[in-house]
Amino acid sequence: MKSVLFASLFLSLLILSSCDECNDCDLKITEPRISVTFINADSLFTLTQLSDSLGLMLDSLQNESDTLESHRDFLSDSLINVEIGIDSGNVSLQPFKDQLVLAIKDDSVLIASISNEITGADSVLQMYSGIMDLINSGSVLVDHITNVHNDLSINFDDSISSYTIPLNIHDTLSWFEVSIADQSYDLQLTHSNTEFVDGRRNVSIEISGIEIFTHSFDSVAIDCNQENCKANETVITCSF
Amino acid sequence: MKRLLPVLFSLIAVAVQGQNDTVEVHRKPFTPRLYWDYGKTALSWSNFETKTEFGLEILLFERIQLIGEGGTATLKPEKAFQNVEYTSQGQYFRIGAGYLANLSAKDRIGIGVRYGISNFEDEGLVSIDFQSDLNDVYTSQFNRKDLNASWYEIVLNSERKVHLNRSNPESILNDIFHIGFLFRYRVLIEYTDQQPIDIYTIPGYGRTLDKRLPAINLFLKVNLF
Repeated sequence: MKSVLFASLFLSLLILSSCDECNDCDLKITEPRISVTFINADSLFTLTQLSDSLGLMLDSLQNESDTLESHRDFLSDSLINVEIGIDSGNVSLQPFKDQLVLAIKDDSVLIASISNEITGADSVLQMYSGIMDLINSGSVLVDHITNVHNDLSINFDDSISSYTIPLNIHDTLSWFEVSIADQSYDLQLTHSNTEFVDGRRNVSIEISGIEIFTHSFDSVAIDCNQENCKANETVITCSF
Repeated sequence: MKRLLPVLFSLIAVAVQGQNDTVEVHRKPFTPRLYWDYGKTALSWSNFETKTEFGLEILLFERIQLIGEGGTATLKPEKAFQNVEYTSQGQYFRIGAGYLANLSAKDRIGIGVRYGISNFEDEGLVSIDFQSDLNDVYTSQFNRKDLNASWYEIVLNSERKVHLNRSNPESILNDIFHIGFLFRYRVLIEYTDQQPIDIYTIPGYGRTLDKRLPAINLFLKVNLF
């Protein structure tokens, strides 16, 4: 009887005990990051202006070419008349014939030169058009992004429209060097770093209060879902 | 508290049952007793903890226990955090009282309460490897001193006389040594909580994640005179 009572007491006490073991303890820690989109707005504007200028220049060259061809046609007609006169026995027209031949030759050389310029400008215009189509697709190839604090880089092989970048967990300043088409840009962000313990008993870093400190892009815009810009919820758009 | 009721009822039942079966003997009015938690000492070989605990008991009329306990502990729980080398160390003391009832000529069972305090410090080395291409491994340290905690305990005590002289049941040697265990149900009152990384374990109490915590101590008890 005593042993039964004792056992019941023991079981009652064991019921009171509780465990708080973590679940999925082997999962890796999520790193605080931001999403960055790079828009080549400046190049798009410049290319549009260049294309327009190049189009005007092409029109002008074409007009000049047309004028020269008309002039050459007129000179050719005149040459025919002069040659008829010379064949009729008017040898005094021979100096005019020589001048007309030289003038037609000069026009032909100029027309050929202008034609070459038109061909070159047209190929440049087509190249501009191709680049503009690529920019308008919203996809930019970033060569690499470097953490200036430790010189570690992420290299990219494919164009993507949004890059996910780990923030600096060691300091409240994240300083990135972004290389696009052999051109380097700086992007510096300030933020608050806070240690916290997650549900899996991992100590991790939470980053919030993200703000643009300085940059060398044409413009940078920050978009937060919440008032206190938190990592993993913040999107930054850089125009260059 | 509702969950405690069946426990208390069971304890009372055991004590009453023990009283009924008790063989009447002459009761010494004053018996000082010293006990050693050999279970804690035995576990000190592990890398996770080093503990030493002793207790002094004044047994009045072989029924009423007045108890003081003290110990030191260095705790290095592996599962404290996934990425922190954590250590908590310090001293703790408990005072309390209890009631002992005879189950037989050799066995006793009792119930009691304790109030415990602990003064300790903890430290940790945080190491975070985010597997990132842009960040090095993150490390930081913390070292927090002069931390305090208090709790109370409901204690079930069971002990058995060790008969060193079996040939003479009346020998005084048979009344000196006792072995037994203490089943403690601890309820945390307060502690100096820390942020963002809170104290994981308190010497003398246990994990702070559990505000109520059961524990078992094994002891060797000696009647001093």
